[in-house]
Amino acid sequence: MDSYTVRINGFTRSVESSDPDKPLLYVLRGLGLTAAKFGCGLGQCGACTVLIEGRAARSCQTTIADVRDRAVTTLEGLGSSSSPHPVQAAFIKEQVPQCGYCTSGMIMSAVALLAQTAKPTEDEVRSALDGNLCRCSTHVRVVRAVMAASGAGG
Amino acid sequence: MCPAAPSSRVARSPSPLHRAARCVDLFAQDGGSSPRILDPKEVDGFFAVNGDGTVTVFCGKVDLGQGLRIAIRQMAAEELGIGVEKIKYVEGDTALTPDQGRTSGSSGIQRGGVQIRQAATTARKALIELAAQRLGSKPEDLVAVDGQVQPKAGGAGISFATLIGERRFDLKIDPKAPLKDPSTYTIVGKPLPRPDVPAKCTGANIYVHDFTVPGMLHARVIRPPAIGGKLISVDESTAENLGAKVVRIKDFLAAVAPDEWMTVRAPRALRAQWSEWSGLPEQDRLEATLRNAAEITDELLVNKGAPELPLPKGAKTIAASYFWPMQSHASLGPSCAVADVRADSATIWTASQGTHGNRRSFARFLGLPPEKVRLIYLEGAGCYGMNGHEDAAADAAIVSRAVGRPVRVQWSRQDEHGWDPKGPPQLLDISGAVADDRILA
Repeated sequence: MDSYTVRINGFTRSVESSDPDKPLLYVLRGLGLTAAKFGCGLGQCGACTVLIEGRAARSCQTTIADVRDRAVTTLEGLGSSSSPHPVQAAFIKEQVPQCGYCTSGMIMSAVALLAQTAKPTEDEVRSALDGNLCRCSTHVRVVRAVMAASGAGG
Repeated sequence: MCPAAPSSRVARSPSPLHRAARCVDLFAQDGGSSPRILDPKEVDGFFAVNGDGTVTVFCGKVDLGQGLRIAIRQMAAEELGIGVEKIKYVEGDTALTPDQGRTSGSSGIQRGGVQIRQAATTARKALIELAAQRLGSKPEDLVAVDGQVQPKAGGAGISFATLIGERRFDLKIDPKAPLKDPSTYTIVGKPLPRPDVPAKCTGANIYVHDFTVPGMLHARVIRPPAIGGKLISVDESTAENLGAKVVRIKDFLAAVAPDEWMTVRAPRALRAQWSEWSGLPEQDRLEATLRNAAEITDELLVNKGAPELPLPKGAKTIAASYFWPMQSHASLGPSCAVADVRADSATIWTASQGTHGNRRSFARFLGLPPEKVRLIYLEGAGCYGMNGHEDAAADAAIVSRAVGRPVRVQWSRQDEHGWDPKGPPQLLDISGAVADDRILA
């Protein structure tokens, strides 16, 4: 059983795993951080997206060994209902989610985009989020919320 | 939004990173420990007036993200005469909510909501009559507003909590109790924010996929390569080397472990031999197969007048065929459920849109009396036609019974695509005849 030090949502954690290939998604969910969702396990739907050192990554395709000594941020680490991150606040204001199963991944991808490109065009938002699938078809509201969070539109 | 669950038996796995106390004790909020009335003909089936001035609505229809949680609250608040923020809400729990039928076919508001609205107006009438006795007024001189009954002319009122808090109405829903005039509505018709949205945007919403109970094990079902495949042999040691226990019941095969990742890895290593089966028609020959199928229905949709046969000169016949293949409903999150099956009872946490109907099915299938089976709705990934949530619940119940522990079954993406209840393939031949812009046949 190896021990991995990972910084998760600002807290340094020691995670035990006998398998260095254990996906980060299962590590996080095992810790009770269940915002990142299992959708496909193949890196194709985006529901499990988290930030690693500020960049969007599929936690189902990232191993525990990959994040040793690195900083991971999940939706829970961004903010809360009483004190939401600006992107979370925009998603709440626009009433984006229907079922909400994709929402965590959508918000994490949007946060990564806005960290790189503070004032994206709508096309850039669509392009950055095109790997995040929503089966309830809330994409139009997603784009509207991300634009609003960037200070445009709204 | 707090899903319905008795906190005495249910707790989230503790974690310093985890925001605690997401789930309040339901039995504390719904007015004590007296058994719930579940009769949908009774006011008490749908409402409990709590001592703190709030009202709990017990809704048998469930919210999958379509907004019933706010819409039903609005309908109830409007008709009762109380602020929408004073309405607490419990949904889809066979131990707490009346059976209002399956949540499907856009029936949530038009059937479920209307039923609750009628219960609310019956309750309002009763509250006004109670207040009239206390105030020595005539009911027609009183009005229910903001959770209290007060004289229309002004003056002190009496709160719902004082009138009936923590007590039952003991009253049948009056189908003739008059509803409010929609032109006087102050709550219904306003676009209010959905209460589940902040939690869904911050990771606090507990989907069935996120739900845990103490002592719970994880499981994956290992399926044959084709639906009719029978299990010939299995080398259980291959999975057990990876820390998973194998459950085999006839052709049902599952890997069980305390850690979810083990249940993903183990089936990959498990050497299971299945018989071959090829009873399904080839996908690319589906249309031809349907055309030659034994089950062909001729359906007469409209028969107006008598078709003039032979068709008159100048008549134009039009024929078209429409075919659509088998469709997976393909929820974004593969189906999931948690079951705790004991010798004499069972509790199943499921995203089923028909917890009450399934309670009867699960009771039969587990050989338990229905009153010993409780299904509790927890939201799953959106559903666009039936997904595998109820099948996953059956999987979880089978494995829980076999191992004697609560079990969570998470379907894989392959399970959902391969084994979810499909939209059946359909083939329609339609023909008609027109002449001079007139439909002849």
